[in-house]
Amino acid sequence: MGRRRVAGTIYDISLIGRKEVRQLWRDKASLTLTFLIPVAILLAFGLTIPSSSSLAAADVPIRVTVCDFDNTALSHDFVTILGNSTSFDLTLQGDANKARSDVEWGIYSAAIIIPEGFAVNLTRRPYPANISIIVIEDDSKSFMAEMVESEVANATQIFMKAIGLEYKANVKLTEDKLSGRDLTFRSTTAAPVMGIALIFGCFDDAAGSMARERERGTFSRLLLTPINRFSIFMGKTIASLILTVVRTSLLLLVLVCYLNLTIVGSLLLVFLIALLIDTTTVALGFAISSRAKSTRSVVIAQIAIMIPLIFLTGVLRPPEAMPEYARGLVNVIPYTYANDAFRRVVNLGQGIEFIMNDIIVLLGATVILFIIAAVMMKRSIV
Amino acid sequence: MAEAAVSIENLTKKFGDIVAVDHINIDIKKGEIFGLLGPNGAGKTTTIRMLCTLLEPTEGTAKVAGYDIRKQPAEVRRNIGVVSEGVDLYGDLTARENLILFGKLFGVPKKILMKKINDLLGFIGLTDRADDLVSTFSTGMRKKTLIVSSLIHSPKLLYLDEVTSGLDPQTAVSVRDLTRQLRDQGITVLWTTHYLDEPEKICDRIGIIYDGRILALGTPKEVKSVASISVTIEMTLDKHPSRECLDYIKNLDGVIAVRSSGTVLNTTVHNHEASLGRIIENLNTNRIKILDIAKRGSSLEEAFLKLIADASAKESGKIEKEIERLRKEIIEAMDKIKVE
Repeated sequence: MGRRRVAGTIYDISLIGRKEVRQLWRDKASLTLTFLIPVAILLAFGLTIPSSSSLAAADVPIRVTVCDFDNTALSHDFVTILGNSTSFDLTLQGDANKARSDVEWGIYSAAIIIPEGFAVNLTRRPYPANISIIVIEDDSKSFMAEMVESEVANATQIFMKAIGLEYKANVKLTEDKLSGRDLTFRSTTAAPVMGIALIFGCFDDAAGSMARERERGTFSRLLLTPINRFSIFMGKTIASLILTVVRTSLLLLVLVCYLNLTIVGSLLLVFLIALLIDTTTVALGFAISSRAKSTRSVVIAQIAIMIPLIFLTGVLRPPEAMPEYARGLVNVIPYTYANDAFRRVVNLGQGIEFIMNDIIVLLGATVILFIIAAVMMKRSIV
Repeated sequence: MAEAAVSIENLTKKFGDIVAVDHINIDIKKGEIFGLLGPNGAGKTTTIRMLCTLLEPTEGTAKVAGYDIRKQPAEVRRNIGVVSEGVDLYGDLTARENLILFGKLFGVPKKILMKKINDLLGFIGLTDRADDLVSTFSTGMRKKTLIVSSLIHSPKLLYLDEVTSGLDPQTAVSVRDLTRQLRDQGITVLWTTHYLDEPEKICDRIGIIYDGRILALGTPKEVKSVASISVTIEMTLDKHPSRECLDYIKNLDGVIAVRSSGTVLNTTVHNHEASLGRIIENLNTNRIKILDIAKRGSSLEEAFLKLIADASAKESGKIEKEIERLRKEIIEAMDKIKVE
């Protein structure tokens, strides 16, 4: 009797298993995503995490500017060694204030200032004095400060060895961090992670809601009224915006009270960025929901889109540290700009002028995605 | 001639190679209940969806309340109410909230909206459930709420697509009564169903649709006559008729079928007047008395089944002809090869 029961159970299990495979096989879109999602996640992970043993190593040269105020043979040698580094794409300039401004605006990831007296201090006898090199770094980007400092320290060691002063003199790196604080890894990633968290909620406001309406027949009911597609989109968007204000407030509470994050910049700007994330995601959700067969398809699409975003939008690693081919992809994802905006406002306290580009990109993405959604919905009205 | 409420001209819908609706032409008169009768997959719901602008036709068009479904879809929607599969109310809103929402979307003035909602809910006997979530309603209640929600904007036309499907007989009767009352108020109703006995109970005219095509159009009586339907004569006898007696009746001209159950004899005939005399004569010869006699008229169900059978026969006849033609071609081709 026991054996028959076991055999029966095994048979039932195989029946259900085969049914599941058959159903998935017939939903080719979901089937494709089921295989593509894990691959995409790993690929995105590979783009983010460097191949070297150190998280702080850059796989590609990052843009760095050097101001050589010493202008001696020794300082030139040092600049040459810095330039030979595979981690730096070095540019010389002569204005320290401009160099700092360039780092603030993101033109360069860091600026290295070789002060006047560099060579004099190195050649002083009987003992060379401590020599200071100033590194202006954007520490709000994950691992950026560590990458720069690590490479400068490396170059310094090579230089000191070359001039026979290894172990005889100390070259001190004076960090001039844009944030003015000691930002931890948690601090640099918390704000972008909040952005990703918002995306999850906003996506369901649109895509999930539309898929549910289609499944239940209420969307057809709406289409039988004089209401146009624009009104449906806008109505749902406004509802989502209200929810996003509440979501953002809750997330900020968690960030501040639980994660001990300090929000340096304007809270209004934080909410503005959150609302732009909402409009972009809602528009994306509408576009996807016009093709989604069911709420299940929407969930799969949500995972397919959202999880790679954690790796591809500068949360764990700044885009400038990613390979060229990845940067191309990263730069077309609107959320890269949302995370950039969050980082600037939350960690650096920068104002609207610094995030204007990000705002324009998010607004543009919203408009384009809404247009796509409107066109796609027209073709699949039932 | 008064303009039709709905005028359908060569309306066609194809889904890839499948022709769901095949060049149908129907005129629905104002103020009538027009029934579209057909089995599942005949094209009823697809037709409704095109007429309410949820689906774009592949060919042809229709005018609904004077508006073209292709060129003036918004005006069409303003003049119709729809109860159909895949069109539902918000289960997480109350009946009243659903009616308010759709009333406002249709632009019903606020001043009259609330009164109208109360009247409609009273009409269907759901005043005391007005503030309950629709998800808590039974199927019948939900269907009635769907009907009144489609009336909130006082449409000229109402499409009721298989509205009694899934309802218990009592509720189905009340829905039909409701529909008649709406017709009496001047609303034109397009009623689709696959229940063969239903159109005779409610429809002024019917169209039989099968495989996307209209097989017959007219009043139930006209449709039955198109089907050239027979009549069944039921006779209660004083004793069992013998085998020879039954065989004789079966072989009479015009007799289609003979069924005997105890002392009850049912004979289906084409021309009952001519046949009846000969049957009675035969029974008299066999010394069988007729205790009771009744004529059971042909039903719409029989008309429907016959029309479909004729249509299928025509189709299979076409297929057989095609097979024969191909067979001849192959034989000719093979003969040519032999000669060469």
